[in-house]
Amino acid sequence: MRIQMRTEGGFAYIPGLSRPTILDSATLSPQESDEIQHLVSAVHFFDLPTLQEQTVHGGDQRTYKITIEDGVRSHSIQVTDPVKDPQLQALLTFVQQHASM
Amino acid sequence: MKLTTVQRYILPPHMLTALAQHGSPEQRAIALHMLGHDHSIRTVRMVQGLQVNHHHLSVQASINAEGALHRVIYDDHGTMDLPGECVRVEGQHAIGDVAANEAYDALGWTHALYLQVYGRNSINDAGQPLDASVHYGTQYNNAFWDGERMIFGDGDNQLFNRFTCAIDVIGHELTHGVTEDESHLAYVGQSGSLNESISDVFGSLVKQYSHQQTAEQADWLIGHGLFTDKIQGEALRSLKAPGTAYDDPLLGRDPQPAHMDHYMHTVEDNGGVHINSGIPNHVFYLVATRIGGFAWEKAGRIWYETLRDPGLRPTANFRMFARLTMANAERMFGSNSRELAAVHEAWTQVGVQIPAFAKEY
Repeated sequence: MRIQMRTEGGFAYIPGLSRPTILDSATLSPQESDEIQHLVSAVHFFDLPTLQEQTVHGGDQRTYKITIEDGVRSHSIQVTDPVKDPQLQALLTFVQQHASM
Repeated sequence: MKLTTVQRYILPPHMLTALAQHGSPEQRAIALHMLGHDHSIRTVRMVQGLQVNHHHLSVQASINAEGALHRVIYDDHGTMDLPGECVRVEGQHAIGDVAANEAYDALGWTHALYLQVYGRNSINDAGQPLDASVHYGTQYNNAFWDGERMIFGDGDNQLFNRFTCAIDVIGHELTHGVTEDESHLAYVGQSGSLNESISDVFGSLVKQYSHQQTAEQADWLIGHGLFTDKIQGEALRSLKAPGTAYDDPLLGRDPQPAHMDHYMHTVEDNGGVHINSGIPNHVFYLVATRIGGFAWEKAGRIWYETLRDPGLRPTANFRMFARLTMANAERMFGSNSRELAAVHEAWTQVGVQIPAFAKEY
């Protein structure tokens, strides 16, 4: 499984932080690999709408564009802070903590 | 100069304003009285600002003297569950949490600027409570306005410190609420850049007001102190010198332009709202320093009246906004005023051509 995430928006546009980050489950420990598989399944990622529900108000929220490739399946979604689905937030947090540029 | 009854009724508003601000006590009283006969809410607000400006030092000591301020600070304790636990409400003493106290104090200064200078009572001008949630998430590198409250992360302590440490960041976020209430400037492209710039302008004015700094004394930086000492940069943005706030091996270089020749066409960042905001940001700096003195008194008032101008459309671009700033400067200070000249020269300096007539939009 390969996960790409690009973070946009936020209080400032910072070039060095706008590049996409990549997480390849093959590089994770067996325990972490199981965890990411579980998180993706729990949120039914491949069935999620491309654009998640978000508030039309506010300013400076961060938007996350996530693409997951798993075998022949590939799906992309876009979600904006604050993320309302705790399972999707758990997936986001895991990717943020384990992905690299 | 002595005002007669006849003169009172033929003096244009900008002259009355000047008298209210700089005249003798008698002239000030008459001018303020006359301006009070103008039932324009905008003018009444302006007068309120003039009245309190002369007493700002004593007012500062009690920024909630009018009982109009209602702050509520919540603690998310590292979760993302909003709003979190209520930890401090209006009137309570400081608690043992720096971030919560910083948010409380900065919300107070932001409210004070809007109320004392512009006569605006909170975000919606109707006393809306100011809610803020601190300690949002874990190592969360952002602060934002979600339409109801301000939300602040603690930073990761690698790149960013806690986002409450910069008073202008809090003023910036609250101003997003003001802009949303007044103009609905679309958060994309040039209108989005104007939205961002207005937040930077009033965020910077909150900081200057809290420090009682003149335009010449201010650093005109946004987010000074947010970067850790591992980062080569002094702030996130600079109104004085866009494009120079940071230059770091990891973060890259501050991408903000200061002139239309360097306007960045991009699909990222909602069409570059945090990038091209450098252009109107720099215009405000130029106007404020050309006029001199406290930036919130004249330059800030021109920008505030423009934000509230019914002619400011949600899809306004830089040219439209520029023309409205000139129209408001002329209305308040006169067609031959140095204030109007400063606004015109500033927009010209950054390469924004101002349409002569509204229909040219």
